[in-house]
Amino acid sequence: MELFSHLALGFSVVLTAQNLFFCFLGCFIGTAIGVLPGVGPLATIAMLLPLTYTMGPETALIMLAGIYYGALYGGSTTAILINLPGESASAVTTLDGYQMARQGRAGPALAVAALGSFFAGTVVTVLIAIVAGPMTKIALSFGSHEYFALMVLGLISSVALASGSLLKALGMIILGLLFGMTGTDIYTGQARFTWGMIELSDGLDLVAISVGLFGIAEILRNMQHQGDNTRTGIQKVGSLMPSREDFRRSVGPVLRGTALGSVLGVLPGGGALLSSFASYTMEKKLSKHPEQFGHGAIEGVAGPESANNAGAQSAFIPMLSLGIPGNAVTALMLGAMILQGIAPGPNVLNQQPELFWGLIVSMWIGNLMLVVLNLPLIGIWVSMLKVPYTSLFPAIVIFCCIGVFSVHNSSFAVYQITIFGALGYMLYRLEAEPAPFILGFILGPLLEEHLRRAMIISRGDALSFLERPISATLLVCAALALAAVSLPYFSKKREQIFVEED
Amino acid sequence: MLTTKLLSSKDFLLGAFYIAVGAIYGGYTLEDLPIGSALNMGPGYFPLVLSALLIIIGVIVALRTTVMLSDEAAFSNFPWRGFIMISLASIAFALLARGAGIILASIVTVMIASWASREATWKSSMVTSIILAAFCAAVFVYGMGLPLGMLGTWFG
Repeated sequence: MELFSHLALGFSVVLTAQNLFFCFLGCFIGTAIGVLPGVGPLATIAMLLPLTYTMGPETALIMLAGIYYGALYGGSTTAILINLPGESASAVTTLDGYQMARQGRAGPALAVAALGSFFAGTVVTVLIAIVAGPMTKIALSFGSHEYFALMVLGLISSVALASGSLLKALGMIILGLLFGMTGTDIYTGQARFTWGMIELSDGLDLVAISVGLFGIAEILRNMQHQGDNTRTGIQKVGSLMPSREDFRRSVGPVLRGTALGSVLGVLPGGGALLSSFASYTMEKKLSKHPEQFGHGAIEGVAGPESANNAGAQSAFIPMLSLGIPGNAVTALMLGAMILQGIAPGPNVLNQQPELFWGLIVSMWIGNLMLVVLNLPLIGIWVSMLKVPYTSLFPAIVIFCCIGVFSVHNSSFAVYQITIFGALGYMLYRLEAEPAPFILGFILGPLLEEHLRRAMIISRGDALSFLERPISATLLVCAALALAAVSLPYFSKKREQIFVEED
Repeated sequence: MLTTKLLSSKDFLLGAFYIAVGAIYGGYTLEDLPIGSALNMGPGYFPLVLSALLIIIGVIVALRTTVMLSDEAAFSNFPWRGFIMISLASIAFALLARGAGIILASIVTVMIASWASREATWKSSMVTSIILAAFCAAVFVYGMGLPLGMLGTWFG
């Protein structure tokens, strides 16, 4: 079986002392970050990106991935214990998880969340191993037309499936694409949008921009809410063991959540957040006791927690097999690959099988570590909840600065943090999200390159995009997605999915 | 009254921002970059298309402005103190990192950043900055070997 030899290769990569250590470190830091208030997984990955620069590519990506799903686990802990989601994907867990905790059942809630997530992680790891190979083969037959169409579909549906205003998000994508044009044109060598600064001839600094948009801007957001963020009333954990009844009621939601998350995660713009909301809605509809939801129904914890972990991981499928990120986290992972000098795309599987299978197997190992980290060590995380934000944010600022400075040993990059931090916060106040911006920024140069190549191949005939079956299908899908979310019926549905939060 | 409300509404400001960026990038493109043709696109072709799209989206966003829905102006109760201090902190680091070295640069940066909070006191910000500077020097420079001097070029 090819699958087993691939997984064996993956295990041989992960089971080295160094990679195991960094996988553990990633999970550990991720959990801490997920627990700490006001620091999201995006900010953490951005902050630690520069530090992974000196590691090998496998180690760097294994650690960054660990941070991401570690943060998801940590986020559910705070959601259950203090009714504050550590990051957005665990927002629905607060609904029933916190109610369970108030009824003295925090332990079973945490246990079901962790075990459900582990189950989902295991299933999706196998799923990635099965699907990635064939998907890569299809992608290798793609020409520039198909790639261009695929990226357009990815960008459009990433905003169609997200919450918030469609137009504003489209604007943010285009803004990202434009900023991504900064630097030297690969075809002609002409400097573009450098405003006379030599430092910009290699383009804007991805690490500085993401640190600014997700790290610094987030601090400013938290400043605004300072004061109403008192961390009193941490619920006691008690016994972790769920009852037999808890298990019986959780099995269905875990299975459905895993399936839902696996599918939704692959879609651009899907991933953890959408999966958890969709799973909660589904469980509430299917339940014989919908009135228990919001009052401590264990299904409301088991389903969304499995779904968000499944979604978070299956979002890696398009990023690894096609080289196209569907959400901001995978976009940053792609950025990490580029920093390491790896050209993302379907060739990674063939040219860097160690990296590919190592990363996939590390996801399973990391999930296993997280069950161990989270359940017995819950006391440590609870005590971290007491860290005051006032001593936390100066640390974030200085880590961001040092990290960004060290990548190119450049003060100019640090100024970019200042600018994008301020810009990110202003845009947040105007209700424009930074995630589509990062997607556009990373895909911009690729999108342009494939467009130009496609037009040369087809002698300047724009209709050629519609004459090729695959690119035509992809573009029609993009147009349909755009049209669908503009319709009043769907835009209402779309709002409904995300309102459970309130 | 209505005009001030309009001018300070979120949608209007964002739309204006999109239009401004689109105009600046579009202008730069027309001024400096060869556009080329659809067959052989120059470095200006794609940026010009994007700038035009951004302006169109900006116009729609600004025109959709719903003044009645939210009475709150976009930048009401803006956290000026935090905004200025955090921005100054990263600028200070950029200015000091090479010359003053990581220890001094970290102390100054953390001091400024900690003053972003209204609850900051001299004592607390001193303690935080010294602890963090020691941590950064030990972990990042000594431990991970990042290219930053303990003492910078100003000290020989």
